[in-house]
Amino acid sequence: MKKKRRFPLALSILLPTILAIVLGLGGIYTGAYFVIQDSSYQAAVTNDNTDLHTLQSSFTSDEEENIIGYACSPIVKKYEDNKPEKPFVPGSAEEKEYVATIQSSSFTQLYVACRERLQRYVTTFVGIFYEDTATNRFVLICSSDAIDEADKVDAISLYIGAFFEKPSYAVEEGFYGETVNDRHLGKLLVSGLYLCEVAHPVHPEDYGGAHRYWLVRETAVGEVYAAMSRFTQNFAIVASILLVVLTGIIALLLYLLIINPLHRLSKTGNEYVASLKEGKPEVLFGLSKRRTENEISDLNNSLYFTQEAIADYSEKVRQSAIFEEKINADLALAERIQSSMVPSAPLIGENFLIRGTMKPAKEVGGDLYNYFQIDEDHVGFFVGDVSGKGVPAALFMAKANMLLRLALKDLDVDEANKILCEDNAENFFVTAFLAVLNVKTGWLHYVNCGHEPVFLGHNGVYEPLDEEANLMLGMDEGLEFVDQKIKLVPGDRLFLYTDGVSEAMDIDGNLFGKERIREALNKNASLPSELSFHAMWEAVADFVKTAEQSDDACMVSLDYVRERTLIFEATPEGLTKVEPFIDDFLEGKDMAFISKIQVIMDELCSNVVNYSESGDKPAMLVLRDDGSSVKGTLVDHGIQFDPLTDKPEYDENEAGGLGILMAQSMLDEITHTYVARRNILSFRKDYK
Amino acid sequence: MEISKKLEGNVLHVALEGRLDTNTSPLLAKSLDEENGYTDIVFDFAKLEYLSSSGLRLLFTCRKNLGGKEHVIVENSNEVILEIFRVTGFNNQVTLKQ
Repeated sequence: MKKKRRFPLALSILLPTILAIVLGLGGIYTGAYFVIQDSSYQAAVTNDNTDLHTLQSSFTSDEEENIIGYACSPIVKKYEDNKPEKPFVPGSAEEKEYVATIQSSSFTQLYVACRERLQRYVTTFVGIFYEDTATNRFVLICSSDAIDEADKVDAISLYIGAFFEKPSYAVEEGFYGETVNDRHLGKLLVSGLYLCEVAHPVHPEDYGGAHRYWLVRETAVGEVYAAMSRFTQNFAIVASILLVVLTGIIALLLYLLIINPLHRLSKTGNEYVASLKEGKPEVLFGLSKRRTENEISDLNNSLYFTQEAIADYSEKVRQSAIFEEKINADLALAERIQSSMVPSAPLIGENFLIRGTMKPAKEVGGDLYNYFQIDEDHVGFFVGDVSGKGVPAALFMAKANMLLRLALKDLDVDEANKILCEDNAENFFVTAFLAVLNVKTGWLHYVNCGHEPVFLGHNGVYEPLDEEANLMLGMDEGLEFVDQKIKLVPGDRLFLYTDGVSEAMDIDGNLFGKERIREALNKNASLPSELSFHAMWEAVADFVKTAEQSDDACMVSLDYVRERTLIFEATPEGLTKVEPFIDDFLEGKDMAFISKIQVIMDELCSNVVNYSESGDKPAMLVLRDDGSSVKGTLVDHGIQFDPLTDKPEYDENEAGGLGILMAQSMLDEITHTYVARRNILSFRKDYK
Repeated sequence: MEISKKLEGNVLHVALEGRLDTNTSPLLAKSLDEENGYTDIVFDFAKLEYLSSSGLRLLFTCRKNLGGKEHVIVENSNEVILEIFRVTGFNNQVTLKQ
């Protein structure tokens, strides 16, 4: 999976904060720039809606004009008498000297007039100019400026008589709204820019209009501009600081109130998970408990409760795992105990052999079987099936097993049934087939308590045993069970099973059935019981295929015959065990018969040793003596090979294939089958 | 199995006691290999219980080596051995005498 890029919340906030500050500052300064740029223009058009005449008439009257004209004339006369060729360098010594020469006593009167208007109009500058038509100059006669200066005389004198070229906009009727920029018209404040509020040409009549004066009122727009600039600059600075501080505070609050708590919560979660993995979950409260309630504390609480819930749950899981482990151990033990209740080894007598096998569907099951020697002449055995399976059935089975063992001695199941009916709150019951064989006479006493029919094999053909239908044990304590008897002849075999065999189910729900059991029994009638069990399991497995074993299954067989088994290594050394085994089995028989069996076995067994390729898997020789014949089975785990059909042709010159030929010639019957990955040679030699 | 050998002129007399089968025939083969200088061999099977195909192969080898059934004489065979000879056709491969 592609790893997602990590982008911390803190960084997410930091970037917009910086961006907000930059944009905010940019906005403020851009705005301020335009404000400053525009201010002069704005100021210039302030008086747009006022006409010149109104301005002029409010500024002065005819009478005043005459007074001014009178006061100006001495100064003008001095100027005219001593007119400089060109303007002085402003502030120069020549200028000062010249100004001193043209000063007059009427100057104070003019100054008062200027000052009066300065105050009246709350303006920056009021000045009186003489228009020198001969040189086309404007000459400053007096101005309101000097009041600001500490040394009045010097300051006033500084500007009197200063002149400059008549502006082009100075027309006959006067002008206003023009900006002027000349040091002689006022102080250089910020940019030296002044706005002419009104310029009024005056022609005092006393002098026949020979001289013309200009009364000029000006506002230092530079000052307004400066004030606005200063304000704007200050405003921008304060706004910037406020912006930075406020944004910083917001970012800090975001960090303190949200990001840091979230970080701590996440850390708490990680620590909890780590402690959980160590198997010692430590429930952690990530944030201070004194914290006021808000969404973050809600999250903290929910994390805390989640941790608690997980801790509780994992403890329960742990307990449950311990419990399960214990149960499993108990079950395994129970299985061993149950396994030990049923015999695992066959019971082999002089002329009988009883063998059982069991496959529980679960660890412990409800099937049971048992067999044991009752006394010298009698051997008893039974098969049972407790209703249900698993632990409850196994418990009942244990009880039934003990009772049936006791009942077997004199085949009296009435008492066992009575006890099973008592204390049977859960209404379990058990089907059972019990039998006792007199090994001397062959008489078999048996009782079937609701169990599957038992098959009797006689001369290789199996038929169901004739059985009275009794009820199962544990159902009704008053019952009397009917037992029967039959005389077995040597070679007979009894096959007992539970419904785990007959009712083995394939995936479509079809049952294996008694008929298939009988078919398999007939087909493998000549096999020793152990192999016939293998063959039966194989037949069942072939039938059910992939279906799971649905019920406990067990099988028991009784062979009323003398049977012995030899297991030997498929090697020359193993072969040496065969001869004494046969001698022992046939002890007391006719010497010639023994010799023939020895020769036959030598041929068949050496064949297995030499050709079967059994590896380290042992071979098995089973001999049965039913009084009229000796039957045998030779089993090997080697490659599938039928020596009867695959034998080499007997060649007199090579003497090959002699052994099997000899064996075949000397036996009354010999067949080969391949069952459960085993080569099985079955043979019979009659005593005659 | 007991093996008793006695060389009389060109004739090797071999008396066997016990069983001649897969386990014991290698012993007899080895014992016969030790002998030479005989043109005829006489087996006394009076005390032999039986012989299997491995024993028959030994007789077959003797017959080949000595050049004919008249050179391999088997004496005093019991009923079982005779049956074995009969079913395998070996009664025509050696000279049987009682």
